[in-house]
Amino acid sequence: MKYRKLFYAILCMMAVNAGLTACVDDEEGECLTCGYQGNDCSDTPSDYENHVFILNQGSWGTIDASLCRYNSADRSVTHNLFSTKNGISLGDTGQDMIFYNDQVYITVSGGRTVYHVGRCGILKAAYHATAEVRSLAAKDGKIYVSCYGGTVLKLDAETMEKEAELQVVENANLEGMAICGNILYVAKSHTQGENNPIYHNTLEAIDLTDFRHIGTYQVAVNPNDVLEMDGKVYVLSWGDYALNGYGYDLGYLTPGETPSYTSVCPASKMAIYDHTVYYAYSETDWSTYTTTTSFGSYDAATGTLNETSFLKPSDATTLLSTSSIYMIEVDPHNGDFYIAASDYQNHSVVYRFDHEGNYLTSFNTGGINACQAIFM
Amino acid sequence: MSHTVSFHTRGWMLALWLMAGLHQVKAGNICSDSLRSRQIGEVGVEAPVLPHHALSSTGEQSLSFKDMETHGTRDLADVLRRLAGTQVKDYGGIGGLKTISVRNMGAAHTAVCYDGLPVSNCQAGQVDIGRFAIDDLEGLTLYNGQADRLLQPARLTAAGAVLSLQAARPTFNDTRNYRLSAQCRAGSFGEVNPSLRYAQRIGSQAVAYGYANFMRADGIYPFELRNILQVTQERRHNSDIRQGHAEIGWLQTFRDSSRLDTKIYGFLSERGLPGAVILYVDDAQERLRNKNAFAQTTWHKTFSPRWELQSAAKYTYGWELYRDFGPSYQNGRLTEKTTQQEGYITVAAAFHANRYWHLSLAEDGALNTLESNSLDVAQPTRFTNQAALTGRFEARRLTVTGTLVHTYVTEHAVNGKLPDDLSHLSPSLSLSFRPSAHLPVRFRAMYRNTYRVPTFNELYYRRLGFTALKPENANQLGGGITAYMPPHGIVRQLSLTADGYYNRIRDKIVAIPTAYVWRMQNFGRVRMYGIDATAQTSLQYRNIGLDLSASYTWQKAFDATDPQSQNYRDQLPYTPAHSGNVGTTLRTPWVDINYSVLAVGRRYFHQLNLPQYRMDRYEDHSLTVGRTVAFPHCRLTLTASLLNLTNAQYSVVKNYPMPGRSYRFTARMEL
Repeated sequence: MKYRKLFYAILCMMAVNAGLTACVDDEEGECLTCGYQGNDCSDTPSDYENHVFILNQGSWGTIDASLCRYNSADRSVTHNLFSTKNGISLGDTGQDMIFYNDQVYITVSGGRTVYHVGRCGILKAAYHATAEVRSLAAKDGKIYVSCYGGTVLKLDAETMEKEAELQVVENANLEGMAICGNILYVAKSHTQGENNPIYHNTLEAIDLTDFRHIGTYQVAVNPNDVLEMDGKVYVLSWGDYALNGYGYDLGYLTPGETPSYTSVCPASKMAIYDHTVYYAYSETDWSTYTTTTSFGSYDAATGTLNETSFLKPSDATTLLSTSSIYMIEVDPHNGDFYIAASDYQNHSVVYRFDHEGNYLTSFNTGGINACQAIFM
Repeated sequence: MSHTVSFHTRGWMLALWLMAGLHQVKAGNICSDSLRSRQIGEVGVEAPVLPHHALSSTGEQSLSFKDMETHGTRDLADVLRRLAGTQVKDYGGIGGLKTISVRNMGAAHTAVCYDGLPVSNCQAGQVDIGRFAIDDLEGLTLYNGQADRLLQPARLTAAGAVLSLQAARPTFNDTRNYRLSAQCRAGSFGEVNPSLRYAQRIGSQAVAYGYANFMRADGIYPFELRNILQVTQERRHNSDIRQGHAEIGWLQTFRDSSRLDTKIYGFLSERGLPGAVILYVDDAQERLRNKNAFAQTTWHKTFSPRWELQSAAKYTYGWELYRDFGPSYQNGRLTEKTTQQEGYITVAAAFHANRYWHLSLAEDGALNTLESNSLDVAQPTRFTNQAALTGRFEARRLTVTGTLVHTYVTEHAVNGKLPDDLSHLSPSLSLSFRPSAHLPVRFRAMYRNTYRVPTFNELYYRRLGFTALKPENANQLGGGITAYMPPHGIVRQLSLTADGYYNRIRDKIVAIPTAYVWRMQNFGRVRMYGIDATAQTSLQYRNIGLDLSASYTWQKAFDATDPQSQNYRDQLPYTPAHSGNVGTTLRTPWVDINYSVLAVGRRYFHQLNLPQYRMDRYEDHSLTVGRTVAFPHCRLTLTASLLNLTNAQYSVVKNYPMPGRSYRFTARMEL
C-alpha cells in the first residue's frame, strides 16, 4: 500500500503547490499557475467559457492518459495540461470526464483514480479506488462513480471523500451512468467469466435518495454508454462482437411504472443535443480491413430516425466516413460537433463542425484515443 | 490446387533423391567392403585455426559457457542482448518473459533450437528464453540467417534467424569414468540456485548423464519510479519465482561410428507476474505456472565419405496455467489453461559429391495440437511439412550455398472456421568469398526469403484471432566482411566483422483496432536496415592474458505502411538506433577479472517518435571476479559478480523496470 501513501503524498504536495501558485497576480491580471490572462483560475466561469477539455485515453499500460485544452474562440491548443500544471501524470487509461458545478471530474481506470480538477487544470482532490473506476455522474454535490466488480461509489464533489459504496451486483463490470429524476441508471456490461466473457443486458437502477439498488431493466446486450434526455435514458450497447449474433445497438429506456426498452438503430457512438441523439456507426469488413462509418440522428421529440449524415460533404467528412469513430461530442453552447477517430497508434485529431454540419477546423490533441470532451 | 501440384512434384524429387541415396549408400558399403581400410598414424599439423564465424556465409556469433560465466551476465536474455543485431524483450525480474528477435524481424521469425532440434511454441510463436539457464549450456550460437550446417532440420533452414543452444556435454579424462559437478548460486532478491550434474561413461561407447537444478527468488527489488517531476523509490512485487529443471540423456556411439543422442527434459515453474508499473496501483496478483517436457532422440550416421544421414524425433508437451484475481471476475478469478503438444520428426541427408560439391535434403513433419479455454475454436491441430534442399559449392576461397525451402501447412479443428492450407517456396542464396589466399579477409553476402505462418493465437484467440491471415513474408539481403589475424606475438587472436543488411516484411501480422475490437490483420509493411559489427582479440604475455570483445549495432527499422500516418517511417518501438557492448577479461594465474558494459541508445516505446514516448539511453556495467582452484581430485571454481554496478535505473520494456545493482556468488565443485 506504499503506492497509496505515495499517491496521497503527491496530492498533499500538489495541494500546497496549488495553494501557493494558483492565484492571481493582481498587477498583471494573470494566473501564475496557468498563465491565463484574467481572473482566478477557479472562480470565474466566464473566463473559461470557450474552453474545451479533451481527455486522451492513452494506450493501456503505458501511463499516457492526458488532458488537452482547446480554445474554441481563438482555436489555440494546449497539450498535456494536467501534467504541466501538476507535475504528475494523469495515469493509465483515461476513461470518463464530466463538467459539474464549474469543476472537472476525470476517471482513470488503470490508475483507479477519480480526479477533481479546477478549470485551469489544477488538481484539487482525488480519490483512489480499489477497483477500476469507469463512468461518472453528478448530482446535489455528489459524484457517482461506476466500478468494475459491480460497485458504485458516492463521493463528495469537493473533497472527493467517499461517503458510500453500493454493491449493485456481484462480479460484474459496470459502465456508463445517467441520472433521470432521482434515479441513477448504471449499465451492467459484462462479467469476465472464468473461461469466457459473459455479456449482460440490463440497466441497474439506484435511488439516490437513500442510495440503494431498486431495480433492473432489460436493454440490449452489453450496454456501455448511457445518457439522459427529456426523461428517457438512451443506451448504446456493444453486443457480443457478433460471437452470438448480437451487434451494436442504440435504444432508449422509458422509465415509469412499466419501463420499456425501444431499439432505434445500430450505432457505436452517440451524443445528445437539443432533443436529438446524434450517432456514428462504424463497421469493419475484416476480409478487406475497410471501415465504413455512417452518421445519423434520432429526433427524440418526434421519434424520427434520420439516417442522412448530419455532416456536410468535405474532406474531413470523407476521412471520418472511413475511420473508426472514437468520440462524438456536441458543444451545448452552440451545437458544434467535435468528432475524433482512433487507430490506437496516432495522436487523435478532433474535427470540428458547426451545427449545420459544415467543417470548421481540426486539431491534434497530443495524445492517443481522444475519448471525452467537456465544454466550459 | 497449386500446393497439390507442388507437393506431388516434391514427392517425386524426394523419391528420386531417396532412390539415388540408397543406391549411393549401397555403393558406399560395397566400397567399404572391397577396400580394406587402414589406420594410419596420427599426423600432427600445425596451422592457424580460423574462428568458425570467419568462414560463415551468413554471419554468426558464438559464446561458450566460459564466456558467459566470465562475463557475469544475469541470465540468458542478458547474454543475448550483448550480441550484435539482437533485440531482447525483457519484462524485468527473474521470472519475467524474455524473447529474442534478430534484426527486428520479430520473435516469431527467430527459431530457438536446443541440442540441434527446434523448440516449439505453436500458440504464441515465440519462445521464452528465460526458461533456459546459462548453467545448462555448453555454448550458444546466433545465426543471422541460415546456419551453415548441411545436416539440420528443415525448420531451422526455413527460419529468418536461429538461436542455437547447445546443452552441456560431459567430457572425461583418462582417470575417471564419471564426472560430478555440484554448484550453488546465491544472489540478490532472494535468489538461490543449486544444481547437480552427473555423467557416467558406460563402456567405451556410451555415456549416461543427468542434470537437475532448482531456482527460487523473491524477486522483490527496488526501483526508481518517475512520475513527471516526482521521483520515488519503490519495490517490485509479485515477482517471485520457483522453478526446477531436470534432464537425463544417453549418448551412444556405435561400432559403425553412428551416434545416437537421446534426451528427456522436464521443466516446472511457478511465478508471479508483476505487470506494468501503473501509477497509484501496486497490487498485481497474476500468477503463471508452466510445465514443459520433451523427449528427443537424434541419430547420425556417416555411411561413407559421400553420404551422411541425420534423423531425429521429438515429442514436446507444454502446459500453462494463467490466473488473475479480482472482483471483476466471475467467482473472483480468471483462469486460462493451455496445453500444447508437438510430435516432430526430421530426416536430413547430405551428399558430398566431391570436395567441392555438396547437396542436402531435409524433410520435417510436425503435428501440433492446442487445447485452451481462450480460443474461438476447439482443439486446433496443425500439420506442417517442410522440405529444404540445399546445394553448396565449397572451394578454398569461395563458398556458395543455395537453398529452397517448401512449407506446407494444413489445419483441423473440432469446430470453428479454419484457415486455408498454406504452401510456399522460399529461396535463399549465400556466398562467402576470400579474395586472396594471402589476405586475411573474407566477404559474404546473402539473400533469404522466409515465411512465418500465423500462430494459433493469431488465428484463433478469442475475438482477436483471424483465420483469414496470410503468413508474413520476409526478404532479407545482407553482406559482410570478416577480417582475422592468426597468432602473432602477444596477439593470440584478432577478428573483426561488419555486416550490413536490409530486410523487408510484407503482410506483417499486427493487431489492428477498430472502435472497440482488436483483430489480427496482415496490415503492415516494415523495412529495416542496419549494421552489426563485432571485434574480438586475445592477448597473452607469459601467464597473463587479456581478452577484449566488442559489438555494435546501428539500425533503422520503420513502419512503411501508410504515408499519411503520423508514424510513417518512424523507428519501431524498442529499437535503439545505436547499441553496443564492450567486455574485457584479465586472466591471471590467481584470479580472472571481467568488466563489461552494455550501452543502449535512446528509443521509443510507442509507434510515434515523439519526446513524450522516448526512453532514455542507459549503460549497464558489471564486474565479475573468478578463481579456479585445482585440488588433487577435484576443482573448485568461485565466482562473484556485481551486476549493474552503477545502479542504473532503466527498463527494456516501458514500465517494466529492471533490477538495479545486485550481486551474485557462485561456487562450483567438479570431480
